[in-house]
Amino acid sequence: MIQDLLSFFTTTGFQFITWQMLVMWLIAAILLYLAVAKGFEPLLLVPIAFGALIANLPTRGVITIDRSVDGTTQTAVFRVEARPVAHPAPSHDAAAIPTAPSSMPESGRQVLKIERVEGGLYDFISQGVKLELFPPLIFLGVGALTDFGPLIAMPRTLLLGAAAQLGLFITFMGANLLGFTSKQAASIGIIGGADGPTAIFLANKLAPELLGAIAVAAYSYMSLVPLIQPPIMRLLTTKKERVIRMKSLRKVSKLEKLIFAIAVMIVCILLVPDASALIAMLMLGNFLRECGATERLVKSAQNEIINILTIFLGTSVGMTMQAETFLAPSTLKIIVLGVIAFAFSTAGGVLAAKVMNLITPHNPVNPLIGSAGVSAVPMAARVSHNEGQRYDSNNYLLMHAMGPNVAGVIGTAVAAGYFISTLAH
Amino acid sequence: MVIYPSALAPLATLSEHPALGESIAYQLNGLTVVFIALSAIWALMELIGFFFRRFRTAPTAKPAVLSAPPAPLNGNRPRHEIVAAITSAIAATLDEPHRIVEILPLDQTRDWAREGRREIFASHRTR
Repeated sequence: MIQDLLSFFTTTGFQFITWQMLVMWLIAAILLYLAVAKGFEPLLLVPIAFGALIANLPTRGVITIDRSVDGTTQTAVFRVEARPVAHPAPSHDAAAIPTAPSSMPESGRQVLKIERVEGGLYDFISQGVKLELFPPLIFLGVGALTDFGPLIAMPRTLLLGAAAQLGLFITFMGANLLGFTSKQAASIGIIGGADGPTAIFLANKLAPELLGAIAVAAYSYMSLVPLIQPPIMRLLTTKKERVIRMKSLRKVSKLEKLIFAIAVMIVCILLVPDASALIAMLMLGNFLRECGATERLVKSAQNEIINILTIFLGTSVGMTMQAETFLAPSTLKIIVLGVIAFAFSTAGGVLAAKVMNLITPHNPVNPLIGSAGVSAVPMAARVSHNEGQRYDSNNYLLMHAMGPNVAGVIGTAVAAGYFISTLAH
Repeated sequence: MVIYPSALAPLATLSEHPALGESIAYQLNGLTVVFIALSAIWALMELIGFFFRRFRTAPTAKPAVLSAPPAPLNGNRPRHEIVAAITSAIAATLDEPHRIVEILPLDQTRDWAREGRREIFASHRTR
């Protein structure tokens, strides 16, 4: 019996625990604490932290990690056993299956019969990230949740959203100087856009080995927007500028919002086809919301779809955080570069607003709303509003700040499309 | 056959570890692309907004005019702040000139139930 017990213990996972795993458990615990106790973007950080914990446990049937001889690892790999079959002869009997392989059909294509598919739970679920399905579908929900009315009422705030992408490009240069490749630098730079699905979409395409670190950095800094942005906003604006009161926004009709969704989709896809998946889903979700005739679809997109995908996306991303890849000097560099990206994006938006006031002084823009071009919706807009309230409690900037805030979502998607079109092909 | 102008050459073939000058050119290109995209959307929305503002058929809503003092129920006159809030809400909701004749408190035992029934019936499409 003791022998049986001993042989059973050889099948347990205790023997596979390493000190790196223990460090990752601690990191996962810190992320869970920040998410649950401190409220740091819990909707994403909880699944990511849980995924990281699972990835650093000796699991079976959850996720497969392929380690090659050169040290690189690949996650979410499933095996398919298939054998070639004869090209099916024209037959009306759908149940007729040829049993013996024969010569290749004239077209040169080989027909395979799948006999067995082997993989763990997240080997299949993670295909949603690998195949770039989850981020665009989450954007469907984001579009269904977003009101572009303030942006349509004041379209020049689109330029603030564009200027807020400055951090992406400056961080790209910084990452290059620190030794990252162009693809890795682009994936790190996108953190400055403060857009989680776009960051995951781009990182998965260009630098999947950094996906875990980039996702953690992106979502952590998004929740730190109220801490990171205000000092930069105060540094770049004067007291006189902070109390600028903007004209009330005009009412935007339903037809305008519908035209906006279609126009943005067409313009962005024509300019940057590689951003098609993100932009198309964002505008589809928004069209469903604004048309008013698809209430059930909108409710699904805003709730069930986005919630389910958030769980799967977060845990899949967390599972890329194996100790071997996460506990590396590059992770620390990514965390530092992430702050730089955020800072420059904030500065870019604020400075663009000041330049705008030089060009159109008769219709000024409060520069504080420029920082909302960082597309952490609606947190960045709320930060702009709160900062404005500190200096003038009767100055309500929230709806004005929502314009550049949602413009930043479009700007980040366009920037991601530019990186993909120039680096991925 | 596609011919790429030489200006696009650095864009199409950015090296893994580009030189500083190459990197700066790449950034400027990228920022320009983002600005072009969003500027194009801006121009389009300004044009559409111009037509919507110009050819809007509904008259501009005039401020509500209170023609008579609100009739109090049970001798209770509504506070000035409540009157202001009600008139503001009506002005924001109705997009046409209007005149408020009187403000009365609802009979809570009957009218809310009627309003609830009206909402439920309105939510079901008859076709």
